[in-house]
Order: sequence, then structure tokens, then C-alpha cells
Amino acid sequence: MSPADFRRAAAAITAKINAECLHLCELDSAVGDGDHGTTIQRGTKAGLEKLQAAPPASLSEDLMSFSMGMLSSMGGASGPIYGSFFQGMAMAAKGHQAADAPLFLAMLKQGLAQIQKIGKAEPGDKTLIDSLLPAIQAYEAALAEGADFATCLQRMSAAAWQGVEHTKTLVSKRGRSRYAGERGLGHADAGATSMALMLECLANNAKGETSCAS
Amino acid sequence: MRKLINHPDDLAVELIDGFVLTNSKKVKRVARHVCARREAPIAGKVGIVIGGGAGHEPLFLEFIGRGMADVSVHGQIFAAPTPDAILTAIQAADAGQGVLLLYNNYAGDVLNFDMAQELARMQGIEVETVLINDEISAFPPERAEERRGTTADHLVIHIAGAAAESGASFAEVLRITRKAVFNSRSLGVSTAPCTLPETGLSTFDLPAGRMEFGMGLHGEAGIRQCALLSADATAEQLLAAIVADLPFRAGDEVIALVNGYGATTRMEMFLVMRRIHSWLTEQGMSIHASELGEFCTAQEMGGVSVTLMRLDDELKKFYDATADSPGYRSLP
Repeated sequence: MSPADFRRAAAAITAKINAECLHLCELDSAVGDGDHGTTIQRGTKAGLEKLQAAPPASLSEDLMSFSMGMLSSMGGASGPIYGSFFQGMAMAAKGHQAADAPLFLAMLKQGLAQIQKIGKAEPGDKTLIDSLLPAIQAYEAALAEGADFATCLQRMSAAAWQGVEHTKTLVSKRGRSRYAGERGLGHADAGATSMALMLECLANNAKGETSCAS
Repeated sequence: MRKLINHPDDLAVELIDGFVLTNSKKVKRVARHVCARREAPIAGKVGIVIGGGAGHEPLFLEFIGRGMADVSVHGQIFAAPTPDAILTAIQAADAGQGVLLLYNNYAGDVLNFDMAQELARMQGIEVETVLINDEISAFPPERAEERRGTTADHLVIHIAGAAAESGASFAEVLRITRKAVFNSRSLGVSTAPCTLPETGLSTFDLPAGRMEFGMGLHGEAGIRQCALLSADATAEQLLAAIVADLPFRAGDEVIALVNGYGATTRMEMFLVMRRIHSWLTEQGMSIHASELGEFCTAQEMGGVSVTLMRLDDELKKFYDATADSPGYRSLP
């Protein structure tokens, strides 16, 4: 993944979130206050604007711009959490011109670590961790089997969506939705869903291929 | 949608515009999401920053002024403000005596305020946090640190503000504010849902003729749904739970507060207040002051919350001092 690939991925993420905004709000509305879609829409839009306003830069700097754009526009719990994900990816990418398959794994892991550092959510708490963690695990397993970058990304994306499906069976233990308890059963988690959308767009663009398929 | 708005993206900033224009003699705009009382920062006084998501007006936006907070930072609708905005607020409140961050205990607020607190400390500003967690329904007393803040807010802000105004040291303001939080308990009941102005979506479903105890300010699920009760029975049930929680005892002196969530008539609030007085008197408690109105709303949610704050001589002294903010005024 080159800086240009990430800029294309960020544009794809922003477009995808924009298209799915109302759906994300409805998912959130089932258990929370129903603003996840608009919050993440505002964040990705600001992140992309910040990125496009910045002169050509390294992959790490570009990830950081996107992160800061989200962090300074979203608020709520999502701002620091999604901002931390891209910040972690930026930290791991520091000093590299582009990411190959092993470096991209390190970036994903660092992104997850930054989220867990502030969010303290565990797997099974019905949060974005429940799509991000299985996605990273699937990517890592594919890499260990000797799969190429494209295959690793594809497995990552598929596992993220399986993770989203799995959140329908979970009872929330984090954030506002935890007050809903078992009322949340049957509903996919909004955060896990938006994370899967982002991973899908990263996967479709990390290798300089076609933009995010819808 | 039944709300007068312009573009949904501009809601929070435009409502802050309107607030500042309405109160231009008393408040000033510091940044897009940050307002301060005109005199801030005030030499020799501990600074107080309050804030949270928008959509609960007058909370927190309008509680800046004498005997209240110095600066308020107002996020997007129902979403905590961002770290950069909070940092700007801290700087605007800092007069070198320390800055107290006083806000409601929600995950999003804590994440953003903590980040800003770290940044401010790196700049050499002395900053401490007191979280408000008066709502009793979501967690039992032994997990009070997980409870959320609701309608005790303006009472706690006033006591903190009055203590700071009296020239108390940073450590003293922190101690007194924590004591005010510790002695406050709230519980509410919702009779009708609200819609998010950005999307027009309802934050929860509640059929007519039903009510839900413990419903949060953002549609967080409550603890119990039942058929609509009378005003008297509602007051009794809310009080029984609140009084058992601290617990409040015979002989205690309290502030009794009835808060409307946004779509509640004053008629209903007065009926609830009436029963609060007779009920607390029956229990042998005395009411130092009664407050009734909209202090902490959730858009057009129907229903009321009741807050009791137990007073000692020190809390009473600061409560009785002047509060003069656009959103809350109390003159001795």
C-alpha cells in the first residue's frame, strides 16, 4: 500500500460511509442513540478533507492526517476510537515508503492495540473489536499459509463481515448500547459494521486495485 | 421530522451562535464549540470547564456565569466534544489556579476529556476531573463509578462554581465538588421518545400509555416499563428508589428537584413536586429548597426526573450563594 493507495482507500471509505450513513444510524438506533452513521460520516469527510489538503506525504503522515481529521471532528466515543485505529496504523508505518503484506499486518495490529488502550473493550463485548479482531486473525492466518497480499486482504474483509454477523448473537457490554442488554440481540453492532466497511475499502485499495465495490 | 432546523451538519454551531447572540452581555464565543463568561479567565479563581454533547439545553452550554462554570464546551448533538475543543476551553478557563473539568460520566465524554486533560497538563496547566454520576438505575451502588450523570448537573456546577467564587483553593474546590456529587441521586421516567434532529429517527420505541423508568438522556434503555402511572404514584416510586440508594434518612435536609425532559408540561412537574413534598415530609426529611423546570433535556422526550441532594452546612452555604448564568439563576 503506497500513500496514493491509502488516499484512494480513504476516498472510498468516505464514499462508502456516506452511502451507508442511514443504515448505520438505524443499527445504532436499535440499542443506542442512533447517531453512529452521522458521526462517522462527519469524521471520514473531515479526515478526507484534511488528507486532500495536505501536500504529498509519507504513508504514515497520510494515515495521521486522516486520523487527526476524524479525531477533531467526530466527538462522542467514536472519535477517539476510530482516530486511534488510524493513528496506530500510522505509528507502525513510520519510516516505510509503502506497506507490504507483513507490514500491513503490523499496522492492523498496532491500530487494534491503540483502540484497546483507550477503549478497554474485549472480544465478545459487541463492539467494533468483534469485526476487527477476526479480520486481523484471518489476515495473519492467510499470511502464515504463504498467501499473497491480495488474498490476505480478501480473507480479512470476509472475516470482518462474518464478525459483523456474529455480533447479532452478542449482548453489548460497552458504550451506551449496554443498557439495552438482551434487547440488542438480533441486531448487528453499528461500530462493527462501520469497521467492516472501512476494512473492505482498505482491502480493495491497498494493492492499487479497483475502488471499493458496492 | 417536526423540528425547525437548517442543515443538520450545522445544528450545534448554529444553536451556539443563537445562544451567544441572546446573551452577548454575559458570554463570549471562544471557538466554534466553546463559550465562556465574559470575565474568564478570572485572576485568583479556580477555573471550571463543563461540557458534553448538545441537544440537552440548557445543559451544559448555558450554565456559565457567576457562581457557575467559566467555560462550556458543547459537542455535536448527543456526542461528546472533541479533544481540541476541550483543550481550547481549558486554556480559556485557566488563570493559573488550576482548572476543574466537570462533566457527565459517559464513555465518549471521558475519552475526549481525558485526551484534552493530558494535552493541557503537557502545557503545564494544572487540571483535575470530577465526574458526575447521579443516575441510580443503570448500576447498583457498589458500581457507582459506572453510573452516568444526569439532572444533578446544574446543582453540582453551582456548588463548584460558588466554592471557586469564594476564593477556595483548587484542592478545596475539588473536595467540595466531589462531596456535592456524592450526595446527589437522580432517577427519571420517560413517557414519550425523542427524535434525533439530524436523522429524524426516534431514539427508542415507547407506545402511548406506557412509561419507562431509568430511560437515559440518549434513549439508553431503562430498567422497567409499565402502564402509565398517576403523578403521585410516579413520584412515590422515583423517591423510594432514590432515598434507598444513598440512603437518605429522617432528619436529612435536601434540595428537591423536578426536571422536565423537554416535552413535559409544568402542570405535570407541579403535580410531581406536590407529592415529593408530602412524601419527604412523611419520611421526616426537610426540604431546604425546591427547584422545578427544564435543566437537562433530551430534545422532546416526555417525562420527568427527580433529583435529591443531601446538604450539610458547607454545601448549603455554597448552594445559597449567587448563581447567575443564562441557564440557571438563583439569587440569595
